[in-house]
Amino acid sequence: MKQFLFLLPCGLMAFNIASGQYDAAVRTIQRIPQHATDLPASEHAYRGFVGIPAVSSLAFQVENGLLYPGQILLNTPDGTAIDLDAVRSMWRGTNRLGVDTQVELLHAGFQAGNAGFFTFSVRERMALRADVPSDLLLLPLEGTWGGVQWDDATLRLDHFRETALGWQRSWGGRLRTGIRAKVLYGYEHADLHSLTGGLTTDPNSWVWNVTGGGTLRTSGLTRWDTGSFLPKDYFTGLNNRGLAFDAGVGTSLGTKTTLDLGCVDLGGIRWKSGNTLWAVEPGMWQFSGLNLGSVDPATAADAVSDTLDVWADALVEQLEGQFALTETADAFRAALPARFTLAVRHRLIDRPRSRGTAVVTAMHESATYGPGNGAVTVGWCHELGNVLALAATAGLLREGPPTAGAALALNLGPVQFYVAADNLLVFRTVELNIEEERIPVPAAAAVHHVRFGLNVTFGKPFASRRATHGPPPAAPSPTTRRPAEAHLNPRPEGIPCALPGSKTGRRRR
Amino acid sequence: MRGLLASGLAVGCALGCTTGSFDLDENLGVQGEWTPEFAIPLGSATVGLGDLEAWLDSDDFILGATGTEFVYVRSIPLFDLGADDLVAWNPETANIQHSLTAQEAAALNAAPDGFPVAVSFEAPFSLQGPGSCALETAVFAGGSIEMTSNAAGPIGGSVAVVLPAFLVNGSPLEITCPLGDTVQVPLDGCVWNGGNSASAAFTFSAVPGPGNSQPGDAISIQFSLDPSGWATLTGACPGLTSQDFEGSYTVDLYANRPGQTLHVADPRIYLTIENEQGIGAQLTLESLAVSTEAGTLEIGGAGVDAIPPLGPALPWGTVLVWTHSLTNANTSPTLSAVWNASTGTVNYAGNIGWVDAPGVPEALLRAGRVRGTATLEFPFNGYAAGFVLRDTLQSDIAGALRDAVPDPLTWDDVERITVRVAVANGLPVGGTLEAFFADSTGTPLESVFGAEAQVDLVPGTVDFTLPDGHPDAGKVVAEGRSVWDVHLDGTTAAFLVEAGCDRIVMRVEATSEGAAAQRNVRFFPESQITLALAARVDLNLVP
Repeated sequence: MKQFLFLLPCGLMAFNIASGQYDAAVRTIQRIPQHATDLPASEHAYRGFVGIPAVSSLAFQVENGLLYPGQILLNTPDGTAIDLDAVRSMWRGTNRLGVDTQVELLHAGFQAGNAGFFTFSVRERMALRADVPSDLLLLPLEGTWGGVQWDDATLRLDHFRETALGWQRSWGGRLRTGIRAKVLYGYEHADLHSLTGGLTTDPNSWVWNVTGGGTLRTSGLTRWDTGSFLPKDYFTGLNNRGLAFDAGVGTSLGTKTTLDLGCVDLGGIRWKSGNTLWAVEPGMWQFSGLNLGSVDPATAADAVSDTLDVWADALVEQLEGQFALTETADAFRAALPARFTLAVRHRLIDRPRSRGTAVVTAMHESATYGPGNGAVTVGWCHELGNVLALAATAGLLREGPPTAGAALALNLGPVQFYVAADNLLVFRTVELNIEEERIPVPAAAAVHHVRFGLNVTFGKPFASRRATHGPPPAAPSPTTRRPAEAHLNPRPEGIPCALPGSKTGRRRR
Repeated sequence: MRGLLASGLAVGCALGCTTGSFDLDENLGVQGEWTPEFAIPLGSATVGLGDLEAWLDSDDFILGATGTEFVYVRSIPLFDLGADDLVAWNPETANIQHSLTAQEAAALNAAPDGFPVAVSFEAPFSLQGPGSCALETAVFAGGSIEMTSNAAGPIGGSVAVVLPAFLVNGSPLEITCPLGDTVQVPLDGCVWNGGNSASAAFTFSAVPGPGNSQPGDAISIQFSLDPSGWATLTGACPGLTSQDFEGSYTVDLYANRPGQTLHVADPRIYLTIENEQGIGAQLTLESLAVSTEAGTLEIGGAGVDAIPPLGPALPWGTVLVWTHSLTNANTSPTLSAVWNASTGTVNYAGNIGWVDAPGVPEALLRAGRVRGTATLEFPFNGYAAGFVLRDTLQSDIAGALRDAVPDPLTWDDVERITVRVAVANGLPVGGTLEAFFADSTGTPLESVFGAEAQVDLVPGTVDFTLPDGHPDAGKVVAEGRSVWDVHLDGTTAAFLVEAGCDRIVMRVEATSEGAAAQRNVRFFPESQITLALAARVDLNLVP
């Protein structure tokens, strides 16, 4: 308990609050095999499991960092009003819109005696994320005087398949490790690479200085236009391949507390098929308005009207010259956004038919495509026998309103159904009355996440742990003899002890 | 378990409720500050003096003959004389009388009544011409000659005359006039080349009547010449009337400028005569003076006292342009000194006389004119201090302001609009600029520059180390840079709209670079001013 209370603030301090969370509710229920997605070293509850193909895990996530109606709208005596200060505060952060979906095509795992727990999975993942630059959103509110930057714009589209082989093992009673090797096969990709840019106004002349550059890298998007996707491309026809690794380490602190640290998606894909890269070399362009050059005052008015079209064409030419666009089909490598997760579990209730565990997790993404998502979540998992496990979570994000999630794992015989949602606060809605129609929308929800699936499990939860993972940490022997006195009586009899929770504390009648 | 379920239900209710309702309609308001600030460069333009010349009155602001300097020009017409101002050809009459000789009388008496008898005689026909000319030839484009004939005694008939000196299409003029009658012949196209007098051949076709003619009976022939249609006269005209001229002229550069300094290093006066007559002339300036604060300052010197004559326009029908220049070199006091003291008025008096060169054919053309002009040239080479220029730009400013803010915004939403004018001044003149919005009566309403009544125009930097006479002496080597802000807010805009502002009144007080040290500066065709405009709009939106 003390370690838990010590680690909790450490977890909170170690990771800044960030937006977006992944499977915090799923992670809370250890008997769900998919809980180890972000924690490769975490122990599996069963001796083995097989996910029902294509439905063992379906995950959908929508990120909204752009608009929280419940925070920016307010009712005044004169009617509904938009709170501009709230809008500014909201848009000064990361304005992220994202859609993420994952489908497990195959997933299975088994305990191979003392060798460890092996898993095999095939997953198809698609993620789309875009960050809208704050200055562009705030342009109508702030204007251009203070400058406009757009280098915080990001774009990421990934559609790929990963085939993973994992191995998790406990070493002695305290150390656990886990590793997964993943072969990646890419379908489509798009990202903004090395994007820079902004507009500043010279304080004296009010001339605009526009800088910018970057590359939009795409792969496979032309297939959507031409519709030229062949069935064999789905399996092996494309030359977009990569490797990634997941790794984790865990330990036990006392008998009731475990600590797991995981790092997933360390790797990337080299994209070669159907690439199109549009690159603009970093440059600078100064806009000083319509430059008429030398004019004849007598015909100046005509010169302006005649010149506007010509000037506009010349302006476009100038822009094209300063920010020359090149189109290539070069191969490129794109890293996956790695994710780091820390989980601390502390068993607070340990009865034969009821167990309660407090869980604190912290997750943080690498800043591969804009600021990485992150979250700190506290949760409670309550297991009722081998049939039902319920979990509730509350999370704080890097940006955005807090979340409240829940998960459920129902084991009917060997078939396990689970569903987890990280943010049930999406159901806290506000009504928008638009042209006589009442439209309910989430009041303030940065994340909309749900994962559900069907597995077939073998064994009882954690029933095989004692047999395969070695003896639990030795409890102190029921004797008052100090170690220094061991030589006095090498085989002392057990002395009944009235310590609570100990069998020897009970008199056998 | 029950507790857990109850907690779950409570949480579910809390999570799944609708927490508010908002109307998104046209009454949607905003709360909080909405004060965006936008700045945009509008553009720039460069105006060179070479272009400005075409825009301003080109007769008053020209490039000099060398194409390297700018000159302010004012022209004073001195005289414009036509041929009628020089000569007057009055109508003339000529009477010719022939008395019948004894033979002619006998021939008439011998002829049966009604049977014509020809009586021929010759007599001189003379033309005086304009009184001041010894006429040699005259070409007529109009006018007429009338012939009246009478005869004494019992005769009738007609008189025919052939005037060999009067040619019509190359043939001598013939007129036949019945006795007692008058015949008028137009002279259009006639040429007289008989000098003052030429012989004419008369033929009297006499028809005797009852009774006898007596020797001495007179045949009277009267000619009346209307020379008003003469086109060209040749001959000697020693007595042409000289023409006086006088007048005064106000030079706006110097008029009404108390306390202002304008020094022109090399002013000039060109006396120009366009002579379309075939006779020489002599211009005489009896007085050329400018007004000063101390009185009148007379301009003298060799350029004024010894003006050479001008010759005839040869060949006849062409124009001779004659020019005589007055400069600092041939005037006393110098023109620069004169203009420095001038209060703007130039008084002049003189006359144009005619030069009769004996032995040299002279001609007067009826359509020809003799025009005299004095052209004052002020090259932009000098210095000025406190020199005031005023101008008014008229435009429907109130209307433009009314329409300036697009719907749905109004001027109430505009906290301030600022137009920044950046000036790169390539002229060696700077100073201060005042500009006011004014109404139709010219009443100032508001300063264009907001709280500042005037702004500074920085002159270009001149390299005064170059000696006078160097091609680049007085030339700007580095532009002077000024920045002006024109402010307009909603309150001011509404005021200007309500007052009906339709003009901007400007006053520039110009001082040339180095004027305090009396250093001359020059304007060049390539001298230019570049204006760059940018606008900043600060909005305070209150829906």
